[in-house]
Amino acid sequence: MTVKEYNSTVKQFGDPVYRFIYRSIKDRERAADIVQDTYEKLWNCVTEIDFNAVKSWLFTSAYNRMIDVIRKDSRLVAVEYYDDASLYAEENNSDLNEVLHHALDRLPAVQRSVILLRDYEGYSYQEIGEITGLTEAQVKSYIFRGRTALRAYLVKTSVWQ
Amino acid sequence: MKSDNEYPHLVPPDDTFPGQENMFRSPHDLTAEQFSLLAAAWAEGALSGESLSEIESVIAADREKRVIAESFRRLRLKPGTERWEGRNRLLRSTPAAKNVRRIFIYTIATAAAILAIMTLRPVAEQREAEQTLAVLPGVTVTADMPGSVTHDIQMDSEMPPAESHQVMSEPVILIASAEIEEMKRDMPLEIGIAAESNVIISEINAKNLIALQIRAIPPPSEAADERSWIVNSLAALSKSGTNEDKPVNSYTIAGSLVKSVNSLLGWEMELEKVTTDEGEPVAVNFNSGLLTFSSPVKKSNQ
Repeated sequence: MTVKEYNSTVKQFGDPVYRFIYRSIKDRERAADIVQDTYEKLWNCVTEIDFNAVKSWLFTSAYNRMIDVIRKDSRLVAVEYYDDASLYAEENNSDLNEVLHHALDRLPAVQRSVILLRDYEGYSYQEIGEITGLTEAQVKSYIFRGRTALRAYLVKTSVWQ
Repeated sequence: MKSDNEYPHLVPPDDTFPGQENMFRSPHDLTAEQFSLLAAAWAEGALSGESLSEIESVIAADREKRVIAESFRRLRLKPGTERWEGRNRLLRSTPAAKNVRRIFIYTIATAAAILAIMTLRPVAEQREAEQTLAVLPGVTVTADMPGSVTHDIQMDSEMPPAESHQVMSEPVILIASAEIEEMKRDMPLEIGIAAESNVIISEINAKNLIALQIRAIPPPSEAADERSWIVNSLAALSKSGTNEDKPVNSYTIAGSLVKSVNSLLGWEMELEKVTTDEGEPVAVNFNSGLLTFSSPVKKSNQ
């Protein structure tokens, strides 16, 4: 990959990778750190990575880095748990996409990540499996269970009857 | 060693599971949770073959389940508008880009310096001319009027205070000697370097006087030449570039540099002098892709 191609990846994939990480851990500062670390890592081996495979490489590296950060900082795991007050406070939210993101925050980290990769980036189950280190069957299972949980949340909060 | 076949074998009895018929299930027997998972997969387009036909048979038969299944198709997250703030910090420059950027910065800095010189030089010269150089023990600058210095010489107690102040309009340098000589003068003492700037001091107690040496300061034009070494250097460069021996002003220097940068880098910077109908310059306009401004021309800077 050339320097020009590297810069192209920064412009093209910087925001998507950041969004994926930020939506996964809900911490802007740490998300920015993770993405920056990922790009530093990419720069260190810029000549060894094929430009055509760089998007998958970026998401994989960022995901792995995020898992490391989550393991080291238990505070980030706590984002999965919400009290009922916050849940019912969002009942009247009419923006479906916004409510879905709130519901997403309630999912376990792995489910959250695979759904984000699927919906944001349109990755196939196989590609998501390569990024997250899961089998294709596991990816499918997480996505289907995640979708069921999202729907259940919408029904529970009366957004959907 | 005996073969396995040589040992006696168990023969399975012909037992049948009596409740087998009750264990068969149809797609309509799926629990709500099972149906949800299957519907999620259906909405994803992940089902095929027999699985697909089974759930479609359920959906076709039950309107409520169709609504549930189709609701999964609306469960799609759309990316937000979050932007990665530090993105541009990670962009790397190629060597060629670094060189272009360096030249650009130098050019802008040079242009800014030239314009600063053009704008500030008359002001600096004016301020320099206003400064006084008198140094004397007991001398106090009291007047706001530029160029005037009041010498406060300690007089005898019987002298009226009004007579103890004299004004010297020309700047002088006064240096005290080491020895003070006892002397007393009753006649007026005249100090000065020009008739119109003489200072008359009368009734001075010699005990309070010190020996003075008066030096004339260099003409202001020489001092100005020493201060404007940057302009002189740029003028020399400009003359060498244009091969002209006529006097070079600030506008000529700036114009010549702008022209050089344009021809060197292929840029299109413009430096234009705006004049009145009589040909008297009134302003200088600068225009480039990044910067455009207009600077009025002071008469002293033409």
